[in-house]
Amino acid sequence: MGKVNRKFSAMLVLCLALVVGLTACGGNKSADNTDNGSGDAGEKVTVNFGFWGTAQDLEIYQKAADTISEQYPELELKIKQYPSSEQFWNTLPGEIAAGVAPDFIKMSNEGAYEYINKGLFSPIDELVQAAGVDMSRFPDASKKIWNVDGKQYGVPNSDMPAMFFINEQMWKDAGLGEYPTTWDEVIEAAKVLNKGNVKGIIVNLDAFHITNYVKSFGGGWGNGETINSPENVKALEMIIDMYDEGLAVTPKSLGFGWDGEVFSNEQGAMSTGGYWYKGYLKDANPDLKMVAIPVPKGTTNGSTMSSDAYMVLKDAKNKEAALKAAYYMTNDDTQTAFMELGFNPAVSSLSEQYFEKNPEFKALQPALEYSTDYGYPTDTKRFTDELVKELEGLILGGSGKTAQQILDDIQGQFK
Amino acid sequence: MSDYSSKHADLKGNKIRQSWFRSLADSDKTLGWLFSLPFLILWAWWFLYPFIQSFVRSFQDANFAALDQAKFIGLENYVTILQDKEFFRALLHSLEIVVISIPIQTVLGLLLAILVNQKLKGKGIFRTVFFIPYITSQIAITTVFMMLFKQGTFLTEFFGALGFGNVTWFADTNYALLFVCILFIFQQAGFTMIVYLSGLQEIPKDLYEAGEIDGASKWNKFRYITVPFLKPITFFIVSVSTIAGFQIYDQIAAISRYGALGSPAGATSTVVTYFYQHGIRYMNIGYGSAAVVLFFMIIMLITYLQKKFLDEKE
Repeated sequence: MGKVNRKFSAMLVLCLALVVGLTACGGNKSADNTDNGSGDAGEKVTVNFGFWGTAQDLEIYQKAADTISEQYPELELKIKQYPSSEQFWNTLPGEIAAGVAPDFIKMSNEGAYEYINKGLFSPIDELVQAAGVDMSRFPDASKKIWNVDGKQYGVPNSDMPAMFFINEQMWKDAGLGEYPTTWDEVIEAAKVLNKGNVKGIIVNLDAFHITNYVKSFGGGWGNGETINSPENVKALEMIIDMYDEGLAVTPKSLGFGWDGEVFSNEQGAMSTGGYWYKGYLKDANPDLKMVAIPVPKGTTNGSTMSSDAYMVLKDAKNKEAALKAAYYMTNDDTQTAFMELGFNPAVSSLSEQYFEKNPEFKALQPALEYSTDYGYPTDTKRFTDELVKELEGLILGGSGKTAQQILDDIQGQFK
Repeated sequence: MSDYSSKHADLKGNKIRQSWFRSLADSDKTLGWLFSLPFLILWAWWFLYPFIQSFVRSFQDANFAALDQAKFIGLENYVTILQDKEFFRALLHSLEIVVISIPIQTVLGLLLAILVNQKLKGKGIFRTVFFIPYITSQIAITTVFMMLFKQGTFLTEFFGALGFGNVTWFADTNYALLFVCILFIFQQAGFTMIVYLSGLQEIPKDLYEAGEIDGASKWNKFRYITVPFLKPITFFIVSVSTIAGFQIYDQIAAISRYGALGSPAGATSTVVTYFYQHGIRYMNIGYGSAAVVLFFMIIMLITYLQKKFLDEKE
């Protein structure tokens, strides 16, 4: 290599190294330059919102972002959609640690308790007045779900009890009459519906579904205190019996991801589920006619209340602005649009119209009264993973454990 | 000092600096470092710094979302991990993946490389086809394989006839790990083939000709010429594939979609999924970091043993 070439190469490499170094080390520069949310007069405050949901949800939120300045001229809303629930739950803590999390998010009560207890969110009690938020628009039952240790963490968005779905055509073809109200009736029906490739009932080995079974027997997890209660054991025994009798199937053993896929593929006649079935079936199998009824009774009326709310993150740049934007999401237009998708708005005045707009869920109205929060332990994800693992070990792996042993083992880890 | 002498001193200083820069730029060593610098900066930024952070965190009780509240707890994380039977189960699964997959994919890759190194029509197409799985999304491949290995498909019925269960493999605790191994072999064989192919093309032809003159059989030529020449390549493949085998994650995440990582019932849990669950999912980054440090030490030890074993054979 000639001397000139060598020098030129050396300079080039040195420049490249400097550029790379500066790029890597200057990573936070743009973040530093973003709006600090001071909200000085005349300046727009940018509020970032994150959620996990469908493309239809995104469309509604985008419209809200376009119109927010009509009510709050000082705010600009940016929307971030997470690609999946798994991504949402697992990415958020990392984003918070890195200081790049949204200012507020929409979150379901299925995993919120853990995140609230681990300090990811900011209580909103002291911000409500300054932000001009009217919390009286929401019923006490909705607010209570988002109240932990006397502090309010969420602006309620929707509440809907868990449901039990039946394939209407299969039910009629089998010559079955009234829809079931108890698990005994479900089991009898499952025996009739269990034909060929179709299983009588889909029991997804997932905490949401199992929790609905235990609640219908008067049980619950009691935030980790009552995991191995006799009611919970009884519910689990019934599930295990249904598997032993060959009436039940888990989506995984059929190669599916979740119960809705089995139901829409008509390989299972009945399943516990939620309002999301409506939107999902509309795309997956529009010809399938479903019937939605409350979760059948074991020994009592009981099911979970799926609720979601807007939560302000602890490191939000401007918490007051974030709360204003969160509150804006509960405006009548946005809530009405969500109602069309099957969400039951937490806003009392709109909730009354819900069952008119969603007549297929009319039978669920009484369940709004008795459905309750999930009651998972603080270490929610560890608990749900452990519960699923133990049940899979028994149903898919033949561990031979009894319901009592399974729940005792889990209880031992959460005392 | 007079003006003249100070100017003279400045000139002298400039000359010294110029010659120092010139000699620096002329030196091969310096140039080598300069060429390596962009990589080294990125490596330090993306790997070394996070690893040091992980090492420090491994001695802390740290919540991922509240790192400012982290507390030093000494070796407690390590002690807890070493008492957790789930960690050893995950470690065993990682070892099983490596022990089952690496020999098969190494031999398979070598055979494929020998095959596509022949004077065959359309060998370019074969090379491409065999290499495609390596550059394809692992999630996509896993999804396709999940459809192929569902109960009642041709494949599960075929394996059922051979004595395996006609079950959904990834949902059965007896077959799920084997399913992961199949996926890993399918992915890595193309990479192994390409690396071996480059090695085969480096072997001097006259060695084979000399062997033929001496009456060596095809097997003997393979055993005494091909295999020894490919030894450094084999070491590279085994090392790289072992690390890849230990780091396998995408396939397991795809199998476990909507469920607990390592599903069914922890049958596919590995050291990486163990770290991910504790460090990220449960937000206990201190504990997760301790698992990572242990994992790093295990990989280092195994790579060292592999090298020692191959060196001794030489």
